Amino acid sequence: MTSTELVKESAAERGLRFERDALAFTDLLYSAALRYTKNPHDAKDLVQDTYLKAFSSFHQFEPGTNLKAWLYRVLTTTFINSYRKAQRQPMISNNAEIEDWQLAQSASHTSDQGKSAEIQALEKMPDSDVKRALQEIPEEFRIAVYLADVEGFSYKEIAEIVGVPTGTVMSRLHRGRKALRLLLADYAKERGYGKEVKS
Amino acid sequence: MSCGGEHETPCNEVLNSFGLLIDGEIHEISQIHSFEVHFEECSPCREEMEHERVMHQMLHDMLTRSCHESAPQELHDQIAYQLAVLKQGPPDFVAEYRRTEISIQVDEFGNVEHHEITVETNWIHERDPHSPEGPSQG
Repeated sequence: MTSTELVKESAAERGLRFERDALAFTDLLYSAALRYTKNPHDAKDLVQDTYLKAFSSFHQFEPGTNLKAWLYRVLTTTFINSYRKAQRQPMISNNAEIEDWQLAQSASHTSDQGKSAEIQALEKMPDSDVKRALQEIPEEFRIAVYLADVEGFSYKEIAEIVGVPTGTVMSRLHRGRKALRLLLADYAKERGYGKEVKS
Repeated sequence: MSCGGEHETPCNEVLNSFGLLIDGEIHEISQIHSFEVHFEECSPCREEMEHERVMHQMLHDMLTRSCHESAPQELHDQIAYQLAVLKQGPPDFVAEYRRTEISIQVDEFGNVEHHEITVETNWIHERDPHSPEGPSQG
């Protein structure tokens, strides 16, 4: 015997569910929006737009799936479609992206001194420098690194959030992290973190 | 290759897969196993991998720490306000348009007889916000 229960959710009930479940992510989305847009004013607008869009398409969200990832998708697509255009940020060409990260990977072993210098430099790095470095790397890389390393999304989830193939996520992440490390090493050199600790 | 040793999986391949390994994005067990074998045989790669793990963890900790922000109260309030407006649904007053088109055929001699369009706008009180209506009762 089968019994089917049909549950109906009125618009008002759905609205309540949205408030209960989705609004809990405001701080997280705002943190991401700050890194995306690089300024508090645009970040606030972006989060507000994100919630408005998410609210009006909440009926499309499948309950039981990852709400955080869904909200991030709304945030990221809203940013890419409107804010980036407004900010006139240059885009990196997609074709160049995949091949040259593979070429660029001249794999080699690092020396022990190199390793410990790199670690020491990071240990002293203030938060402000980390944010600065993140803002300096190209936007596509920044988004990928943010979603992977701050939010802990998998490649597949990032691919869905950003709307690109997994291979592209992999390449952006690889290049983004590499760029970030190089920048941080530069900052460390400027500030003389590496040297003093050495002897 | 780079360590001078002979391995079934070359160093290059291992070094290029660090990101995937650290992110847990290698799902093929045989591939994971071949990397493990390599790390047992090749100490430079093993050390490099350990270093990468440390660096990755440090970068992760730094990023999560420095990117943790609280949304200003103002933003919470604005969102709450806008959602409240949206939840009220469409405004109580809606416009009803009545379009009337009268067209009379062209006769065989090419004379247009009559053509007329009228649009009437009617503001109606559609619903009481306290008694939601709609086709919810089936």
